[in-house]
Amino acid sequence: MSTGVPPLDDATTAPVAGPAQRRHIVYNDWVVRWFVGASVGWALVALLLGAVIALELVVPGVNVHKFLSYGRLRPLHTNAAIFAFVGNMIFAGIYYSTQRLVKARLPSDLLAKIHFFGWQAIIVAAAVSLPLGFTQGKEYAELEWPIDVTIAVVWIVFAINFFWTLRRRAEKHLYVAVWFYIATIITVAILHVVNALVIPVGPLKSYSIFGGAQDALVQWWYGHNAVAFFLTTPVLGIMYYFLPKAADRPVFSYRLSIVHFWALVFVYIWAGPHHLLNTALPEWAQSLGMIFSIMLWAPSWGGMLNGLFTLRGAWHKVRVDPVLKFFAAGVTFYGMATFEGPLLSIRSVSGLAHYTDWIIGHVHAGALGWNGFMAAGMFYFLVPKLFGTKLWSAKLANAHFWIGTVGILFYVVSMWVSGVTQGLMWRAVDQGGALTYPSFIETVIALKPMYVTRLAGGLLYLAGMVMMAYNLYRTAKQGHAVEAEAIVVVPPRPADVPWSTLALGKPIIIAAMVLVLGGLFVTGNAVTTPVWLVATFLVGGGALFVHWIVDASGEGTWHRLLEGRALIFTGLTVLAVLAGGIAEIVPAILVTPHEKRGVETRVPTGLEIEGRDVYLREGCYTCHSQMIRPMAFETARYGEPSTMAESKFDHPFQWGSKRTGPDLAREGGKNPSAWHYEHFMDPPAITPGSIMPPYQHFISDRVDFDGIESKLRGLRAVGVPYSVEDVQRAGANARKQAETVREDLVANGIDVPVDSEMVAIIAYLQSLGVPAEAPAPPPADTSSAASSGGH
Amino acid sequence: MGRLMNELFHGSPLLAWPILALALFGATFLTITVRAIRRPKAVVQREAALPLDDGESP
Repeated sequence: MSTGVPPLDDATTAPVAGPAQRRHIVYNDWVVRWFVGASVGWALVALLLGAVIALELVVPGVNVHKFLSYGRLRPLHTNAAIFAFVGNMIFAGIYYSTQRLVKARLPSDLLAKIHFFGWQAIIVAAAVSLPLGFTQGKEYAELEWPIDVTIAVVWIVFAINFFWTLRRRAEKHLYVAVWFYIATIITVAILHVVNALVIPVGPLKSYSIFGGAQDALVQWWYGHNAVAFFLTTPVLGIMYYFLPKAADRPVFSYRLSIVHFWALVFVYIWAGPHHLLNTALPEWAQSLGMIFSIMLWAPSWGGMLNGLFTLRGAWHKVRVDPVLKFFAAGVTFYGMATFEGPLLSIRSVSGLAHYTDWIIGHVHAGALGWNGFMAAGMFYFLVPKLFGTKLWSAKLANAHFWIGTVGILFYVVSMWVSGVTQGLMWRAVDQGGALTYPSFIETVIALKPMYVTRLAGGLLYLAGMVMMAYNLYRTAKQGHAVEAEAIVVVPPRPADVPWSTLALGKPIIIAAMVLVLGGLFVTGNAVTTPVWLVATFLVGGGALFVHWIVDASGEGTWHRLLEGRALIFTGLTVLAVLAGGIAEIVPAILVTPHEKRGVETRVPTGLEIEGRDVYLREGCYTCHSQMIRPMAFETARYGEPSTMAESKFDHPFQWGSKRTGPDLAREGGKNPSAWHYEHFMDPPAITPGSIMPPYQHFISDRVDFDGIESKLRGLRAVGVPYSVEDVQRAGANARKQAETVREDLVANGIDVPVDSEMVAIIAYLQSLGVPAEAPAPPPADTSSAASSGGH
Repeated sequence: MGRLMNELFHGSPLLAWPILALALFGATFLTITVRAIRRPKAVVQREAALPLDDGESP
């Protein structure tokens, strides 16, 4: 029980009239218990799905049904891991720590219930809709628009309950963990809304309003920052609360945590384009992403060192306490992953690593090591407290730690080896400059031992999590649910400083002046530029120097005031986040891709749109890219480098992020239609060693020609240049094209229904990379096709 | 300087964005760092200890 708060120590907490109050608080811990339980349960599901898809890459025969195929389960695995496992974990951590840090109970139990059940409903909707094939085809944002709307609503409910808690707080100062939570809530909302902007064309079908390179930039601005602000900042907040708590000592450097927060929030948001290095994205955006990614090294490692140094003097506890063991290892994995991330963002390193398993290894070092271990540490700390008992078995928790660590190492190292092998084999050339491994399948076969090792690592990690679930279950069973109580002394509330004092404070004015002068420097001419340059430095440096001298008392009240004002603090966090988002995305949207060489970009036909939707539904983009990078070994294998204009009608873009199979950007006309038919029916029969699943259901699953009109109408609304007549005659035109494709197949002895999905997806693949005025794909010739397959 | 700038922006006038971004980040980072370093020790110690003082009943 707290018998008193420290003495009021500065002007920001100076008392006004009125006595101090004692407040009795009963924390809302049932919602924390619920979220912990949900997180543990979904963790097992996510990891099991991971093991299944890893197995499908080793034994393709496991793709027993279309609902369980790799391309449909892989998005479910990533969504379950990110939003179900880690999502529920961060909600538990945020609710538990925020109530205690601000000394106030969650204001609304109803909102807490809506948040919990709403989030679980979203997860269940994802678990049903993704295997059924309802997807937007955007990585980590696959869920269709009704679920996206629900996510936004539930997130707002969460935000209301959180900020309402801050409003009722008894502790004036917002501890650094709460800053990270604020940044998370605000930024995830912005990212989700912008990336989910779509035109619905049906109850469960929509098209992104962004296309091609613009969509790529928006998607990876979202995708990268989903990692940053969903998997990193909230977990850092959890680290800053639970690590000191478990070690029973304050954070190593609170000053460093302040710098860590602002630097991380500001820099992270810019780094998204590092996912698109060496692609058709404009050079300036690539450079921007690379520079800011490299800058991320500093704040990330600042945070990691702050976490590890908090254990100074407590390392003897780490040996015996599983909670600290998981936290120490989790923070170390964070350091590893945030060292590797900037490294991979260097353009030349990306040239080797992009599209390979190295990226998979990197992601899992973060997900399993950082997120998974921080979650385990938090659960082992929380569950005994939430049930008023001790951990059932520390031995079992220690065994979990070691089996999990070995599992991560198996997983990550095998993917590093696989990725580097893959990258080197793709670029290997002989003395004459010809590709050493011209057939893509050679590089797949070489990786199979690594895929087996990865599966073993994943299973070990899953076994550890099963042990954790059992341990936590037994812990909960031996105790009983406890609602923690506290009596805190609430100091008399000081008079609020006017918002204008903060918003128009010296740092803001100086920063604004520096920015304006900096802008004039950048846009000035030969005469004025040096003047503005000097003025910028004089104002910025001079102001800091003068402030240092005048304010020698060291009271430095501005940031202290700011930390006590949640609303303004939140506003400045929004500005820091928006600065990066707007500066990157607005120019990209304003730039219009232009055709090169006078060749018009082909506008996809209705049938090809149907084929593309099948391609999205099956998750083909999880294994195939459509982006030929401007590198000799890429052009030798796939053809001319891709251009921005070529994909401008792709809503969503299809550049991909991984090549388990070859790039398909110029697949059109490369193989006859009959080859594609045979390949879909039995990939290993056409390409021995292939690990692609069969898609025999393409014959029985039908295209709805009547539904194409609404799809074209939607795409027309987002800028694809269909005429009104194109839209009105979409069904008839599609049928006509389908008959042509079918006749081609029939000529080779293949009889498929004209409205089968097989016809649509073949039409789509034959259109890839084909310019507008190009002749039709070559006539089918199955006899030569079998020998030409390089897949 | 003018020629230098012209050459710099020859590739793309959009280079102004990353330069502005760097300036903005530099100014923010410098300001925050200075203020964090100059924070009074007693204040920092109290704030850092907040997780340890949650007022919970034993």
